Amino acid sequence: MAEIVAERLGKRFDGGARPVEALTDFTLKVRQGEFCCLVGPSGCGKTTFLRILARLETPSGGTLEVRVPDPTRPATAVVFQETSIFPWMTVIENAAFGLEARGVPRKERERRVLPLLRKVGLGEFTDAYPHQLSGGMKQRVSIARAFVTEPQILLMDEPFAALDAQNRTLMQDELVALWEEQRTTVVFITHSLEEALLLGDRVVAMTARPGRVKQVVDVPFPRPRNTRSVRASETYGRLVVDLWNILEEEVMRARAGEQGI
Amino acid sequence: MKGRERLLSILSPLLLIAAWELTVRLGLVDGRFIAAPSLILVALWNMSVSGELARDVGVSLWRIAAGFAIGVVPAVLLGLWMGLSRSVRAVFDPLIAAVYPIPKIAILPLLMVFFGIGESSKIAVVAISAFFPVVINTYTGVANVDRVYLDVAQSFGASRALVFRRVVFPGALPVIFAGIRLALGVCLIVIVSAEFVAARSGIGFLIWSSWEMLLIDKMFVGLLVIAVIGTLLTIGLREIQRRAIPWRNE
Ligand SMILES: Nc1ncnc2c1ncn2[C@@H]1O[C@H](COP(=O)(O)OP(=O)(O)OP(=O)(O)O)[C@@H](O)[C@H]1O
Ligand SMILES: [Mg+2]
Repeated sequence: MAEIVAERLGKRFDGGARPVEALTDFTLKVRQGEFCCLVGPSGCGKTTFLRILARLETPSGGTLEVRVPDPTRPATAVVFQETSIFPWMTVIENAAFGLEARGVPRKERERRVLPLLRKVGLGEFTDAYPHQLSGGMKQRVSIARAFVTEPQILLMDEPFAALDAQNRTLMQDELVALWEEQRTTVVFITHSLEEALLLGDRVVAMTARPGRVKQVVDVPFPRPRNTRSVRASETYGRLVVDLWNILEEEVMRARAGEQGI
Repeated sequence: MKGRERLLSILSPLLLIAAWELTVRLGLVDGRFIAAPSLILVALWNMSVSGELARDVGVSLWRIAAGFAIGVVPAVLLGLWMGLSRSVRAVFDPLIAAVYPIPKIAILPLLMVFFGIGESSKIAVVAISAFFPVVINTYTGVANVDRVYLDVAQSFGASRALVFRRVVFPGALPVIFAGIRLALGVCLIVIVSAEFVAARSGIGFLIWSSWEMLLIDKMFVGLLVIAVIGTLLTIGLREIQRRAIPWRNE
């Protein structure tokens, strides 16, 4: 079963003028098939944790176990925080890059990518270059690129942060629908408490830097989930306030840290 | 462009030429130093018919083409290598930094010591002039490929060969092309200067020898031709670039 066990994980960046302690004593277990949302003040180490999971950084302390059952499928795929699709590739080449990297032949790549591109509303844009797309469309390419490799763990770093509110709502619905078909393990970073509650099975609230897990909130809404009725529910409003109560202090501390020291 | 604007932009050079013709005809400028456009046209015709022009243009184009190819190809290869390997970069960076600021035409005499006074020294000076802007742009282009693209490639487990072919090279290509365009401009300057002083043929020689013999109309033909060549090469290069970098088309 694909699961993540992080035990007292630490990460120090020594490169700059002063060493930065991004994570300390970060302990978290993510279950197989779970949609786990990560929230916390800016700079608290969310992306750092994700990058460690993707093996783009190595932790400087603690242990990390990523158990993936299927050696034929990639362990992780990342949807990055910033625009990360290649400007020099068309939509379809971009979306198929993960498969290309795994040596899947072109015909097969296209066969697998096309239905997914249609599903995310890019069926008409397969041969377009990124500069011809809107921000939301670019992000959908990036999501398709990750999904199509059928990773055992999907890592998403604020994928909808750059979108306007309406498009964001649409994309959240699309993601819920897409995910409920596959039920891969997801670690999803967001700044939006609302988004975390709409999408996640659990919401992990982190402290200000150096980031630790402050509290984990279980999300009670059933699957398959209808985001509309979740939004309309009373529990949702209460949970948003609860989460904010947990995070407010940390956000203040992070802000003081930025200004003062 | 709107019709009126197009008309204006066609009309303005024609007006300029007419004014030029008139000032020379009216004796407002000395006809010994400034040839009238009509006389330049006549000279152009005569030189075309006699084959003199084709010979000089051909020789210069050959020197540019050969020098450019000899300079650009290794420059791109070395630049890529330097961009990919820190140690290779450490070896070549100081050498390039030391030689780059020298105006390449200044080493023409030295090249003539090595290559003789024939074609090779002219081709060599063009090659060296083309080499530097291209090698510098290539390795900066490679080194400045956005980190996030490399992270994407790594996160999907792309092999080194694939990262190079699909990420690093296309990512650097616009900067490499900027270097090639720069190199072309430099090469035109250098070949004309080299032909001024050290050749018995070529457009530079045509301009210089006509000036020495006060054949001002022929000198102006040389200027006209080099301007046309420069423009055509620039357009050609832009077209190649448009095809090679389709994602930059607006
Ligand atoms: N490569 C690096 N070198 C030095 N410091 C780094 C590096 N990467 C991240 N950091 C620092 O580590 C801390 C955590 O960064 P991280 O990107 O994980 O934050 P985040 O929680 O994702 O923030 P945001 O919500 O703004 O994206 C920050 O202070 C950041 O400056
Ligand atoms: Mg981040």
